[in-house]
Amino acid sequence: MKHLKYLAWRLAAGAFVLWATATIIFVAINLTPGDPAITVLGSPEALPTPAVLALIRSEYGFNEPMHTQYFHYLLRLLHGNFGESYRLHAPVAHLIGQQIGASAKLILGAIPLALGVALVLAVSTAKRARWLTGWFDFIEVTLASIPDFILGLLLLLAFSFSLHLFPSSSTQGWTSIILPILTLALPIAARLSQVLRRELEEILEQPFIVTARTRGLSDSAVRLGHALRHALIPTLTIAGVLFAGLLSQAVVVETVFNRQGLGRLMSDSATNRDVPLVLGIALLATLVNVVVNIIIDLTYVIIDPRVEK
Amino acid sequence: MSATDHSISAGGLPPARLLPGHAALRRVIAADIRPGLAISAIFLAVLVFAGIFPNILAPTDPLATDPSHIFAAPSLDHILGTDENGRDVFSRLVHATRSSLLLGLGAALLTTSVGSLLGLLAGLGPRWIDNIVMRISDILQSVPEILLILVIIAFWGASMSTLLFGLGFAGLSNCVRQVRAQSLVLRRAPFVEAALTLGLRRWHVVLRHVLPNAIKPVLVLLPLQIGIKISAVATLSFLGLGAPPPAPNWGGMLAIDRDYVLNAWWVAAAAAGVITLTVLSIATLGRDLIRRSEGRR
Amino acid sequence: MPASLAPLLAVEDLRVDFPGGREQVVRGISFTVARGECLALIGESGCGKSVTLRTVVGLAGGVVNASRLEFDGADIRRFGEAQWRQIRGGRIGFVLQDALGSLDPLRTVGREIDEPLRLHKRLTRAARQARVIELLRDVGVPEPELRAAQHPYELSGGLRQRALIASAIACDPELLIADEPTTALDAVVQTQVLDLLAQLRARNTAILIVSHDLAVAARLADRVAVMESGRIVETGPTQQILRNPQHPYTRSLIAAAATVHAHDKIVVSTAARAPAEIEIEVRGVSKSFKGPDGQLRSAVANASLALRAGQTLGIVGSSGSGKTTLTRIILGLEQADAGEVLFQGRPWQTLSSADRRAARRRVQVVFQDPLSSFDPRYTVESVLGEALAVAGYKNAPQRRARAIELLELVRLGEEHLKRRPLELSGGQRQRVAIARALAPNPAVLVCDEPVSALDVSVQAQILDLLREIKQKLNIACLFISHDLGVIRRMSDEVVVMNQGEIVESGKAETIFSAPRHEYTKLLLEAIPVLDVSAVAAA
Repeated sequence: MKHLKYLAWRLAAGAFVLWATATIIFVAINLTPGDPAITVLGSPEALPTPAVLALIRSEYGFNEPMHTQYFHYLLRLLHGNFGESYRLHAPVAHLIGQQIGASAKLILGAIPLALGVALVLAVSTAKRARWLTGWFDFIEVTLASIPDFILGLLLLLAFSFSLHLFPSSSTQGWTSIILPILTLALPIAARLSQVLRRELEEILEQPFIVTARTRGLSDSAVRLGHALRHALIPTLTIAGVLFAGLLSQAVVVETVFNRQGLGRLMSDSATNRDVPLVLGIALLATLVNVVVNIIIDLTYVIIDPRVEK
Repeated sequence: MSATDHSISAGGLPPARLLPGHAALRRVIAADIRPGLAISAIFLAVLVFAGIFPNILAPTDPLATDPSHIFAAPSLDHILGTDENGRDVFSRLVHATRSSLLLGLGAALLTTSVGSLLGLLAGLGPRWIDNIVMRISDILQSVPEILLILVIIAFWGASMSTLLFGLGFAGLSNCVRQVRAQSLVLRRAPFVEAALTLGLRRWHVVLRHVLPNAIKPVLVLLPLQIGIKISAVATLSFLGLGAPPPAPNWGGMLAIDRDYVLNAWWVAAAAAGVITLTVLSIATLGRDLIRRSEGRR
Repeated sequence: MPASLAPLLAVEDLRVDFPGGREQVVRGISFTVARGECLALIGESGCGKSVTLRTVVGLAGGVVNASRLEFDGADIRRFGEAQWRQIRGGRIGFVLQDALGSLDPLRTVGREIDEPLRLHKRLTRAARQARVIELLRDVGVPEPELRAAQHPYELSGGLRQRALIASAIACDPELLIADEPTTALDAVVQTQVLDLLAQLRARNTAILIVSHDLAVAARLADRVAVMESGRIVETGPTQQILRNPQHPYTRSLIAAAATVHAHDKIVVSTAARAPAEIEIEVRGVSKSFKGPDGQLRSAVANASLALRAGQTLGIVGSSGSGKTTLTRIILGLEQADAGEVLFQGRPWQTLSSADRRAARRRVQVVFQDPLSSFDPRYTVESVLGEALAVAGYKNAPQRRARAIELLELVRLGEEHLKRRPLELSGGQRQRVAIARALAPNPAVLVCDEPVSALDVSVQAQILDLLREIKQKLNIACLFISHDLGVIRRMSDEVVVMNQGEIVESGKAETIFSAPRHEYTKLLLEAIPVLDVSAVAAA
């Protein structure tokens, strides 16, 4: 009962964020000086034909009163209708549907990899000899702070151009996805591992860890059985933010590896100022973010019995 | 205290000692002496100098094309070679420094100052302000950073001001939350209450005791923030959304056709090297600052 | 002890170093614990007693050297990790100070007690479960089935400590090691836990206990070893040490404990005799907070009290009794739901903000944790300077001169002006906090647990200082503490609080000699008794 109430509250909060994002977008379209139809098209340089402009006006209902426009706008979004890309002459939802698979493959491959690497690294190196943690720390800081596209280019240079292990650019075959997934996962693994190690080192100092050791528990049992669960709580928060940002990273990775996908579509649309398509993808990203956060919040309830109190 | 290092040596013998040379080497490995810190500081000093006086460091015109020297390998004339239009790579790198640093610095300052202000309002102000600020921050946080910048660019086009604006918005909600959490703690800290019982005015106590202690953590994070922004600027330029083409910029130099990378690796390597070194140096200095501020606590 | 009977634990010339540390933490100590015996290591914080305990289970973390280190005849210096793991929890049980921190907060109590059983005994799941319940019942936990399924944070401090002890004795260890097992507990619960340990010893479990509190040792230990900065300065049977201490450090510890837990000294200040005017009056104050479950919880219910000029009023109660909330309401840091606080006859609420600020200066406060009472960026000079500026000292030389005067009043010197709080010891910080409170010439000094974060010997000094200052300046004092010994030493009048209500109030002599309320009686019985009748003669 308590859980259901909490879930309902979280869903309502998520719905609020989605509604507010949509509303801000609506306000932005209407408040930008000049013809809102031109804003939707990007810029006057798009040289729209009067026919296209008329189409947009009727589609968005720019001739109607503001509140009717707003109502129709929300209604359309609820039906999954994000409008039409005038550049690509196709509905936004359709274009997103075409590209979402490629990006999903990347992201769903990167998440477990990042989590696994971070867990193994942090658990095995926390509170070890200083020179060891020092070096791991250095590698992690490097991975976490260099821009993704440089990491991608370095991986390309090393494994495709020099060693010819993987194809440099292709969406075909499983080998083509390995380097992009690595590029996505490594910086996230590095950041998570840093947070997790810091948390573990703090937890391993706690009295209840000493108590567990005085019961005769082995070091690895103490780390995995007692400390890890505690360290996961703050790490999950960071993981949520990082995972929700994967679509951002996909923009870069898909460009570096010349792959199809939502990220590529997004950056092309932004360059060409294809407003409906950009907004559609941004709204999708918001939805993904909201869902990820709800999942993370529910995971807390499983890990930490104190949460429901 | 870990169970693994309970070294109980037998019979009261002193533990074996390492030779002095060994010890020095070990200390370097253990990062006790931090050579990285010195290298980072020197590199950043050179970078700042290049940002202020690019012509002294690189007199060659970064825009001058030379069709006869396309993709020339590094030589005495062009120490880092030339690019696809025969322009001097080194000169382009040096002349791109100022805009990279300024954009990074400006965006970081924007994020930190606006974030601190909103965070303080939320943490110290009435409940309804707190609610509004936190909801705004929820919304900002729900759009991934690069996507947010792409949305802003799609609306208003790529220019210095939209870049600055977009970069400033990215990471804002983190800053707000951090300052808010800090000021909520400080609001009830014994030293703040002691100041109130002295009969000081509330705003006076906020100004003198709460504010400096609340924004100290984000000020300590400022260098790291600058690094993140510089990295984001490079990424946007790489995506072709940075400053417009003829002017040199670091990320844009990596956006060349990837087939060139194989044959003219120096163009990509030089730009990638400078970006990596910059970001790493700032991260090294920034982390040292954090370490110091925690050590004093 | 007879030579034929080999000790269970024998330690000779034990030294512990931490790499990078400047000094040895433990510097050549020797002691033995026989089967069924209780040895208490007594010393103040940082004397190396906890490290010594951890060495015995191989968890010291530093470099350990000893000429002899034996458990039941086995040389534990040569133990490998596997051997250690068999001893830990199996033959040596370990109880740490703070049970809330010492039990894994994410696990149920039952699972924590089950862990040593799982590691050391070959029992079925059902048998282990039955044993867990049995253990909880043994250590006096009511409704053991229910408690086993709860998490540590759902238990009271006393029950938690019992559960922790249950997990330490789960495998019937021959030796039980206890590191300050009662320090975090209220006096009443402290007595119960000590009784429990005494029962275990009666069942022939040897106990090695560490404490800073002589009274705890007096209750439980057969023998006492007094530690000072890594060395044992004196050792012998408990009664002998208490009655006839040889080493000056032991004597100073006993003297400090005797003053803090004074029995017969009741301070009656002269000012309290005459019916002086009322400085602070609390009339029917109530305050509730919303609990984490959304329900209102009453923190203070209909509390009334009066503090007269020059008088000391002690408020005593265990943690959660509402004394802190009441203090905050008196200080105007918290709003009462009902009732009012009058300062010199005028209610806080009706004052204009300027008047309220002026009135605030007349009521000053000293908090429990001296470090967090100072802005970390400030030096002692700027801390005092700020308070003095409020008090009307406008120019800097004036403020500096007055600051030095104040420091002298609290027995600190001019050299402390430039220091930051972090560079001062706990006692010095509390002295600065007192100096700051005195800066605006207050009529009332509120002391909220001013010594509970300090070592015993420092406690005595600070209490002496407060009494001296109070008499010199003739200011009224509101003294809040959980420690009846401290309250008794300081107060003219006493208010006893329990669960948000004032259960008894009156003259200190009356309350201590003839308590009427059950709770007061319970508190009084639980005062740590230190039989030091012979000390005065010595």
